[in-house]
Amino acid sequence: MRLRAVLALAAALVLAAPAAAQAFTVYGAASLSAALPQIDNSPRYNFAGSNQLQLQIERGAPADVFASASPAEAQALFRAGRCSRPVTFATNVLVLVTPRSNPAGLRSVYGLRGGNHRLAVGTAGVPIGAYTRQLLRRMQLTSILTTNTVSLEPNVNSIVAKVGLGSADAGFAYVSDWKAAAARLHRINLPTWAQPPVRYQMCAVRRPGADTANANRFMARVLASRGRAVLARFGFGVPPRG
Amino acid sequence: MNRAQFLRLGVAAATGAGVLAAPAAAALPVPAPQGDDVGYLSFGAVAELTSLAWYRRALRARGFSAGERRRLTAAATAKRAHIQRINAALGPDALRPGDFAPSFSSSSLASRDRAVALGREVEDLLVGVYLNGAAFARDSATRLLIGRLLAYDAQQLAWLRGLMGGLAGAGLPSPATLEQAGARLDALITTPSFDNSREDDRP
Repeated sequence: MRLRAVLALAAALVLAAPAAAQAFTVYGAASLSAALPQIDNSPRYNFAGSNQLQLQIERGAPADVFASASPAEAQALFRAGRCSRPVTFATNVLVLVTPRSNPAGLRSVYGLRGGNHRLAVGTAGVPIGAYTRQLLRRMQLTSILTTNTVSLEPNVNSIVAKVGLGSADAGFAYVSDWKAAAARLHRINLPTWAQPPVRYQMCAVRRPGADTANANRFMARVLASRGRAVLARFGFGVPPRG
Repeated sequence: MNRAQFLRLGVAAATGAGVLAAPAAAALPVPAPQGDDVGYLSFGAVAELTSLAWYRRALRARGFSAGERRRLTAAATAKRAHIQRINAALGPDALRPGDFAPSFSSSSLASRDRAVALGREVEDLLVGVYLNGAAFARDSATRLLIGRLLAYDAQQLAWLRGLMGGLAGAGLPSPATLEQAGARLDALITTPSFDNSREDDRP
């Protein structure tokens, strides 16, 4: 009996060891890569396209919190029982960015109708790509995806990098991305009426060994006054409290 | 009224008459917007929602007679129906509650005259875009839907012109592209407020 108890204790310690060794990890949308570490720099962060992160979590990646750039990914994990009920913590607005010098001389998104520009756009699966296509459908501008030379990017950071380096004449990004790279990028506003509702949602990941306590603490920090102030400073909108 | 305005009015009247003579709504073909058709309907949904917001605000404003208030109430009901019809046609691109929450500057509603001018401007945009949509939408059922919306909103535009002391039948606005109409609509509304009453799984 005593031997069995000792063996059980040993087994429990062995199983607990890897979980304890793993750092508390936040999987976040690429567009949050500047803001979230300013709210809390203690977690280990993994930033990428929300759809990629969702896939990784579905395959058992060691995430504790998931913060996505659209509700689709977080809600899918919630429906699958892989995370807590998502909460909306930020909003954003789409803009067209060009290199600071704007060598193509673009003044409006309608200038892309002429074609022959190099355009950086998110893939259809990543939120920035889905939002961009929704906006273009509303504005009757889907044709610009065929009349221009389009490079499809896996996340918004790739779009900003490509435009900032001058490898693209323009790209669709969030206003928060422009704000973070305003020294390198020129911003062209897109019509308010055509803006899709960009909402960020986060949830605590449910998996064996997940650090739920830290996940809840982290989410509370993001939703608190200081977290909201940091998000606003980085150009995000914040939902009303409640 | 010049010749161009007269011709546009004639086309719109013919469209409206044809539409009004159409069989019951249940028998109408189901719109299946193709290509740029989505743009006409998306703008229509946003502008109809803006128009609905205006009718609701106007009902709270002073200076309207009992008869005018009845008309405002009926128009608000019609606008809700317009949004539902457009959303049904848009399918996955439909405007959902919270997607767009238009509001107006308080100065634009400071007096009855200003309020009516604002409402007229919104109807003017709708009629302008619907005129374009009725002419150029690729899907015939979408064109029919736009024609029905146009017929109603043209009547509302005429009524609001009448409230301003103008001639109700003083021609229709020029057909408007989304580029033109979008810029004008953006200038009429303040930044939409965020509504987190829905946390759905779009985009």
